[in-house]
Amino acid sequence: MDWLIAAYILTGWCAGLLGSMVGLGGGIIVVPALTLLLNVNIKNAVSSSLISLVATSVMSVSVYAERRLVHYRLGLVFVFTTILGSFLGSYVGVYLDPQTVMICFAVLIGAAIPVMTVRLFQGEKYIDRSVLRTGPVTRTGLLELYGRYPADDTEGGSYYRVRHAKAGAALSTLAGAVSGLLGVGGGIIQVPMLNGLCGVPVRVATATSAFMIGFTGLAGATTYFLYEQFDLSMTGAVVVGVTVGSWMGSRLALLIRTRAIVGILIAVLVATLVRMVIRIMAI
Amino acid sequence: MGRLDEWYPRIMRRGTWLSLGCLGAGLLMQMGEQDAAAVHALLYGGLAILLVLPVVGLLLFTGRYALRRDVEMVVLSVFVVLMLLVGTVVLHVSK
Repeated sequence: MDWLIAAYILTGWCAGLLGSMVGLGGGIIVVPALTLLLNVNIKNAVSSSLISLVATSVMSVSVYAERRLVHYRLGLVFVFTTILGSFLGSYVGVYLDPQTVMICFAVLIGAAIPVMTVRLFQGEKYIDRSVLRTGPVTRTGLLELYGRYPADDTEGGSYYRVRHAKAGAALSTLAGAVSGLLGVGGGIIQVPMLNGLCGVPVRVATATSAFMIGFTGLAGATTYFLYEQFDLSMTGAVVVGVTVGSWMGSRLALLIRTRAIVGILIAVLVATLVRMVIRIMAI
Repeated sequence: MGRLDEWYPRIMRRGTWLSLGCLGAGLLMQMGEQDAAAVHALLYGGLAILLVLPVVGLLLFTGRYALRRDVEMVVLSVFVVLMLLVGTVVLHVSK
């Protein structure tokens, strides 16, 4: 039992470290690692990952809030549909058989690999297409959202308008459902969506997505908790590992070249996908 | 937001470390085969603190928005809390 708890902490730590260095969160690594390496039931792995999401979200948001990067109004509008999606996704996840959940996870990893590969070759700036304008703006409705970009020192401030808010809110339901079903943060959908579709600057998109992920994790974790599909000791160990790993990773990311880490993550994801496919075929 | 921008990160960070402290202590006690009831209390307590933190943060913001008379944000925040509560109740009933 002792070595197993140490193994859970170490797995969570590695996942948190690697995930936070590339801005993905630990879920996409910790769930397959627990399942494939430590033979944990995938539903227990998903529930542990969801609770870890709350911890990493709270820690990240505390940093982003100090830098005034979180767009709370946008986050609260979108979190509404994200929570709905998360409850639905986790509810479905509770009743699905483990093999189907694993197939869904393999599809998610299959989709994440090209996204990360694009990021490897095009760098961080490829998705920053935000519409910036100067001067204050007046809102006319709930979904008429604007924000001030704090990183810009332009006199009078730079403002951006959130475009396609309705479509963004709808897509957030999908992000929430994926998160609730598979125990990943949903940031892999939300950050490109907020930036590419809604025109939110990438740093604000990342911060606002982290704010929403806390509630997504909370909704999903509540479902698995109520349906008693979680292991208390394992969850505690994974939460400690992922949180400490993410905390260290966010600091290490400033010192190490991100491209090298993205390359490592792609290799890990490819290896994970291969092992998952082998496991699925063998069942 | 003024002072809340300073208070909010501090409360969230301290809350997370408190939760991790409880979880860490619980795990160490479990590894040392100590009292099972205390281990359970520490592990459940740690997870409960963690899960309550986003809601506490939201309530802090709700209070702040109420003081600023930003009705839209108060309504949005209250709706998010209600949605979490209703979702939990619906899941509990449908179990």
